[in-house]
Amino acid sequence: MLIIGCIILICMLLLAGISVPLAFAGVLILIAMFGDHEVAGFLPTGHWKLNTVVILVVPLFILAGDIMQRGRIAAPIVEFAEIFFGKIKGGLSAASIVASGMFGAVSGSGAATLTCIGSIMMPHLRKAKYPEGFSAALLVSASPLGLLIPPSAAQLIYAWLTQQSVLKCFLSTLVPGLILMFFLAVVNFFVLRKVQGIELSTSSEPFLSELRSKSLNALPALMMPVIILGGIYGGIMTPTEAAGVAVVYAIPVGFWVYKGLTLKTFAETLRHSAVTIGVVMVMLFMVLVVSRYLVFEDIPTLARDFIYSVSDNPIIVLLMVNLVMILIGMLMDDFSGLILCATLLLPIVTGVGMDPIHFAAVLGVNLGMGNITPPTAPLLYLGSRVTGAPIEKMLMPTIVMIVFAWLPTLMLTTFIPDIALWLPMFFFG
Amino acid sequence: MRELADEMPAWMSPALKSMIRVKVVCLIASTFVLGITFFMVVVFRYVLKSDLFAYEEWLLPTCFWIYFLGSAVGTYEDSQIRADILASLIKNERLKLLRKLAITVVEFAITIILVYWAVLMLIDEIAYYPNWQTTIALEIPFIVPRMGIAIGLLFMAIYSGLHVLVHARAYFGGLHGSDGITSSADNRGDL
Repeated sequence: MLIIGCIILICMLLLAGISVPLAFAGVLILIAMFGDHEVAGFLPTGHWKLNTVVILVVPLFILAGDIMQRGRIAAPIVEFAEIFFGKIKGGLSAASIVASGMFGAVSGSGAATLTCIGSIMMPHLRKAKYPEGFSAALLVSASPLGLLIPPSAAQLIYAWLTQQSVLKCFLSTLVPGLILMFFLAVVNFFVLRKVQGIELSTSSEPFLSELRSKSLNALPALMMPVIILGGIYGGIMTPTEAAGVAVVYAIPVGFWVYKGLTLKTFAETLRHSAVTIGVVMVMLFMVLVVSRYLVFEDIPTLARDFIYSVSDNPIIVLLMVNLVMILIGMLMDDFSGLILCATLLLPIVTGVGMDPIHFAAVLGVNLGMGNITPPTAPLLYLGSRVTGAPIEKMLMPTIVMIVFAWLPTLMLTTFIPDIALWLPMFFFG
Repeated sequence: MRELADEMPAWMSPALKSMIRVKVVCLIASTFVLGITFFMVVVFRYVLKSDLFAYEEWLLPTCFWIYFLGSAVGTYEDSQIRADILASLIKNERLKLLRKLAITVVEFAITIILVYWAVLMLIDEIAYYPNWQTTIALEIPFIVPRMGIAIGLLFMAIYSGLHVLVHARAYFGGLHGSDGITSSADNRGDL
């Protein structure tokens, strides 16, 4: 009974527009009313859960991403991606997919990717007469690559929650991310093949010299993931230390290399980061407390029994779990959705033989897709604001990309485990 | 852009703005320290061949203050993460104002309960004095980060309450109300 109450309440509160941390606090109040728990213990539980150095990687990622974002680091990445695709029909929009993937590796966040790449690419796309709604939808659909191309803060949280190797979780989402980029590019070229009036970029500079100059320009930005992944993979730093080093690296790059930061904008960046950190971490605090008490109430077992009562066929179970994850992704942001899914669904999928590292990739793709799936679709609404395209014009192209790029990626990732596990197995055995 | 303090009576507005300014200065300083600390840990290990002694014992309590004061500022700015689906479906302006008022009332009620739980937590913690829980090396009492949680929640409740006032005035008085306040609601994107 309590599980149904919790589900109904959280859906009602979230759909009504209550902020995510307070919606979870609402569930906690319900648990306090109908469960047998000491309410004085609720907040200390959150303190214990968050009182670890490992979780500090989240604020540090937010901070590093913010500094890079305001340090005008996206422009050289976009220019770099444009050299490869800019001169063919549909190439400029394909370059935005690649740029989103590359920027995702730097920022680790879908929203930061959309804000930076979207605001730079959209004027280019408009100028070259690309269809407005389609271009905006493509930028939105490519932005969750920030969650899939490592390093990703969401995968760090998953690794911490489920006690898995951070690097294995990072690597598990890389191939699905590349597959998604491929599918998005195919959809892009297919849709744009008959669109008239698109202008192609013309550059008189020889390809190799253009490649050299733009690679050099983009190099400081692209060093960021190298530092983080290299530092962790080389055993030199923990993920948290690597994120701290990334923050310190981003400061001079933003100030003196790309010249996007001044003392004033740096202080504004710190202020913005602090508020974002507060908003995200208090939300994590609440979600962690609720998930703890859901476990106390044995709700993961109830959820498992419920799903197994419908079918114990692994394919059906995985399809149902995917559906639940998409719904959660539509309602919540990636971090809280991830914590909830990892707590509730991991026991179910491991019960049908899925590897937790494989589940990391499936979860990553699911939550990314949930974030752009209407009606809730937080990244879709953000995309409309960033690009200035009306949401009505974006809806249909977004659905096309969900059906022909995201869903195939999800199905491949779910039912062909090697897609997620091949790289982790290759590096770690 | 108008902010919450601008919607308040003249005697309250400067005090509110000062409170926010103090919080922002503390947040900027402590976020900078957070960013630098882990770099220093690496420098100490590889350059100075030493350890930054028990850094996590003072850094983690600081972080709890950042989290909850940051969230309080987020409540002030109405930039908490929300899936504001109804907002885009409702076309009637008056209904929009009513919905906003209802949301802020529910949020205020939930925050008040959280503050009550935080007070219970602090009472529990104080009851252990002088044998209260501390960190191992620096012996920083656990009440320090927990105080941050309680104070942050208290500020969240205060700002939620003020949002209720503003939205109530907008709904019942037909003032400019919600749309006039600097708002980054629906900013899940800020992640």
